[in-house]
Amino acid sequence: MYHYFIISSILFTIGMYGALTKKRALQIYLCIELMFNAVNINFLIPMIVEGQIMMLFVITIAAAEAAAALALTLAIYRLKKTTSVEKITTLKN
Amino acid sequence: MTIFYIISIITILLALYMVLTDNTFRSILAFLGTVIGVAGIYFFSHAEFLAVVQILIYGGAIVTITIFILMLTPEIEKTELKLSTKKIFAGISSLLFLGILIFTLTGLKNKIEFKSFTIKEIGTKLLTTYAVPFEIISILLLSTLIGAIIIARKN
Repeated sequence: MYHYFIISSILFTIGMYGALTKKRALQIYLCIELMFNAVNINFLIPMIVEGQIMMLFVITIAAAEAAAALALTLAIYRLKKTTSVEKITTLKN
Repeated sequence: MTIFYIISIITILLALYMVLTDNTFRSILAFLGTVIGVAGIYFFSHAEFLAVVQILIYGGAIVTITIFILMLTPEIEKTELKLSTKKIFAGISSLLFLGILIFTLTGLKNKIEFKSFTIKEIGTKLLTTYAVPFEIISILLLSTLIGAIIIARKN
């Protein structure tokens, strides 16, 4: 049982490290998807139907998030000609 | 159990490669491998329906859309791989977080007993007891679809 916890913890931490250090919006988005996956493994452990239904909901929300995040990336690229999160500093000034 | 360990190690190595490489396309391909590895873990845990859904939605839809967006938003400048203080601090905090997670979660050492659920069971439960969340999820998907079209169109 704790194998699942350890694998999901390692994957979540890798995703967190990537989301903290990556520069392009697309790579940060991929790391967030990795964190979704890592959390989803934990729902397997109780071995009940509700866990699997919960996993289905999480996957659906991830798909919805994919559409929204990628549309936003495209819109920002049209405005700024870049998707690097270090160059988009409009709110700073 | 050996297969489980092999799948897990491959998944974790691919995830590490995905985070550490600077090439975005290689990162996406490593993400595809990670997703298939997680689907293998689902298969091993007798959640076959979830494994197929995972491969279809993540491996099929999300990776394809991501590659499309990568092609539509080319980055001119190269980002170089160098050790900055940001990376060091991110690594330290991630390792600390991993330590806390493992320290907290490995205290529970119950045996897990595998059970397999058929699609019929999942579908019946989904459309009777959990019908309202199901409908809310579908409304969420519809609104995200409309919102994505409105955000991504020109002007």
